[in-house]
Amino acid sequence: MEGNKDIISIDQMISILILTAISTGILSLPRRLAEIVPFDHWIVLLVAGLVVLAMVAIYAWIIKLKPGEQYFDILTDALSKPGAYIAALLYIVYYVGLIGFVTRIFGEVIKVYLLVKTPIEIINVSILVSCIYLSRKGVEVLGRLSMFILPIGSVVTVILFLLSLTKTNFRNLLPVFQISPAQVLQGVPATMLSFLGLEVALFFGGNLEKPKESTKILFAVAVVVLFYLAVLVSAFSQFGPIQMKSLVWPTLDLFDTVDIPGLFIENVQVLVMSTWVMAVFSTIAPLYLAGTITLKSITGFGDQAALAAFLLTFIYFVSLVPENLAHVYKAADGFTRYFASIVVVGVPLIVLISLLVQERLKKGAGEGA
Amino acid sequence: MSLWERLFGKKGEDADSDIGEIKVSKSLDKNFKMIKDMLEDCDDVLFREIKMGIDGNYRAVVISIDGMADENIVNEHILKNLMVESRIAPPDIGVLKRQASDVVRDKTLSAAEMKEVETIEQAVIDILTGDTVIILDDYDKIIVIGTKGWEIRDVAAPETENVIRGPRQGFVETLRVNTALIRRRIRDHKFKIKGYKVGRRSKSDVCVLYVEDLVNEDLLEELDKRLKSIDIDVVVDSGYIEQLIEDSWNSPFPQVQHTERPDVVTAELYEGKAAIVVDNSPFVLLVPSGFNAMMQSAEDYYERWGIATFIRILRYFALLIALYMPALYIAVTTYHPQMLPAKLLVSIAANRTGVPFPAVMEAVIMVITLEILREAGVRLPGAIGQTIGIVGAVIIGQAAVDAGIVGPIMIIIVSITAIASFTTPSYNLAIAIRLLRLVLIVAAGILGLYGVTLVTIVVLVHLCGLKSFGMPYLTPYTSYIKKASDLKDTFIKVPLSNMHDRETIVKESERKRMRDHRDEDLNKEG
Repeated sequence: MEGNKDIISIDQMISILILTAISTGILSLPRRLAEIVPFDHWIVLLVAGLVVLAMVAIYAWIIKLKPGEQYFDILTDALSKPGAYIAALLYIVYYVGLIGFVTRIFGEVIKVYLLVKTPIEIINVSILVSCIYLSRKGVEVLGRLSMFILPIGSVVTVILFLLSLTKTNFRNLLPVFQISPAQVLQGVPATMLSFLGLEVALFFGGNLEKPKESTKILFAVAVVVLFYLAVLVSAFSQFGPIQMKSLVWPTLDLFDTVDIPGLFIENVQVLVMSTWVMAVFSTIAPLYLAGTITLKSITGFGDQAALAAFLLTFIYFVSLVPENLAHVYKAADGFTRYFASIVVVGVPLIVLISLLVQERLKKGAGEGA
Repeated sequence: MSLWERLFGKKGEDADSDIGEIKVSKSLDKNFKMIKDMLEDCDDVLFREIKMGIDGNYRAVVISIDGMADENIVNEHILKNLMVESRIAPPDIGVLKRQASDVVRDKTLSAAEMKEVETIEQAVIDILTGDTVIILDDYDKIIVIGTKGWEIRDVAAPETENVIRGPRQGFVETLRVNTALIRRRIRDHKFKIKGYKVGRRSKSDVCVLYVEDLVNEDLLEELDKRLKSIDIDVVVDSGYIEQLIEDSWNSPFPQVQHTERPDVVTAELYEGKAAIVVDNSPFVLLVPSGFNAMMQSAEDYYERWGIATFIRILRYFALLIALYMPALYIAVTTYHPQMLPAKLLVSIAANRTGVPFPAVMEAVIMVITLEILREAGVRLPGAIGQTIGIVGAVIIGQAAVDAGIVGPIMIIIVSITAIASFTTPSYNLAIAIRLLRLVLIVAAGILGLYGVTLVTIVVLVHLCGLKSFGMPYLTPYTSYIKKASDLKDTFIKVPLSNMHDRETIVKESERKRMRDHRDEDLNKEG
């Protein structure tokens, strides 16, 4: 009864995953797609969604194979001790990079929309420090928090979309089915950036109440894809593919001026920005926690808050490296393409294969004896 | 243990174990002297030396406290029996010589509650509790007779939890009356009252109330552990117990619910909670209790569901206003004026011309003034308290606006906030909200809307980490997907006929509490 036992239900896991995936990527996703493919952006998204679905299926399988085990232990089982340390190190670097990137975008958006004169350093540090507070509390608290935020966020988001519908023109989506498979493949990596973060499922999988239900986390992917689809459709139907290219964060512009006669506020930015800050927090916090857990298993050091504070210095530094927004996105693109894909798809795939082979061998040995 | 003793929780078996080094001796004089020494300079203690038996051969001492022991019982059922009646029917001398104690205890005293103690210390404690002690000559035990009977405040309508509809009974300061008020509502032998003595010196009676098969055993065990681990000299009020058993003492949020209403306690007992009644306190504690319980009022259950749901939603909305309104105003006017419609912006700007302070200072001044007024109003007697309200709210507010220190919109906002914060049913939650409001105001002054959201996030993280006796504080808002019906009694309240199940803290097997009345009615009509 004392304290938290760090056990989460599958519902909480799904909430965590949904909120982790949705963050800064959503702001620029329509533009990045518009830059690569001329039309049929939604097909690209669906294909990317399928890829992510396969990826998350790997995670679910791993969790199922090793129920109740921490990811680092699974890594040790699959890749031997040195391999596990290397993989864990990769994950930490990956998390530092990803959180740094998300934090930077976050700071930039806040600077443009909310606090024009406040130094970005203060914004970055303040959100990171509040994430440390959560890192100290652990997975169970994160699960409850996600479960609490998700429905409220969904309701607000649906209302916002309904409000933005007044200016949509669905003809902007035409023509359809004109895209070539090559173009689709070109667009998929850019889309993947918006799905980064789902691999925290691996780190929290050991804390699942019923690991057998782990395949249900695929549901989270479906929700995220649907949400992105809604964003894409409403953004493109409002701005059209040509105008889209010139907007830095089209998703925010979507809600910029809601004009409903008789409505008390003609500006829903208060809602949009608070919801979005929540969304970003609920992205950084799980990533941060996953990074901290990994660091904890490498070092064997018990105090999570201290470890999180240690990571903060690196994340803060990374978040301030790029000179401007263009650099940020360029760096992020390279990061996703070459590094993240290894960590997010490569390592889990190797782990899964290794586990399956081990199991086969064990079974063979058992039958042989 | 008799029902009587159970009911009034006279003696906790475990609490007594540490007292009693001096055994009662056979000599009356020795015992008497020892007790007299311990109670030296206690002028409210009455010592009555009497002689019993047909010839007055047997000595005894009756000790009680003036004002705490019921004089009627002492006079009519103890002294009269021992002194007068014992002379009318002369007992067999031989028997009396050998077993004076048996005769006195079993045949003479006509009192319901009686026990024997073997140590001087225990006897003194019983005297100080209001019981009457009889020391017999040549007997190594002391007889204790339950004579507790002091002035009790009448059971009246509770002051803090008013309802329009519902019982008008509130707890009083006497434990036995309070437990009886609850027992009267529950004629169920599964309803248990377990006594403790807390406080090294005060030895205050504390009772834990629960319904045996509904309550979670872990909860009782934990409660038992926490109550026994309390090591304090005096327990003055249930507030002491609350602070000493709560999970997280440094949280601004209350993790133990307190109520003055026996009907609330009864209802919560059947939701699987445990109640803690503390002697000398009209506030009964309920555990585990989360945020949801603090937002409920007794009346919600006595009115039809549509009204109750509307009021609940209104209450949550008022809570949001009480928390956020000043902070949002500051954030938007100071940092994000572009978020306001042009007309509103012009109106606000026009109102604020001439105000020398930034909006944060304006808000802090007004909120602090309001808190001072509230505190003054609480301390003053009723009639003057109202005057303070009028002087404060109307005159000072108007004067502040006229003097140009505060803008009129700020006055409106602070007033609405204050009124909204009164809708929170739980007083201790309302205090937490008031504190948080100040934090939010400062955050809005420093980081605008971002600051407000950040504070909200940190508070949410804190709330999600908080537990009350093993139950997550935000239950069921953080774990509802498995069963949407867990939300039946939260910010909405479904019809009573649909509330078949008890709350989730109750064991799975005991969840069901009601047959489905609705189907039956439909069948009848169809």
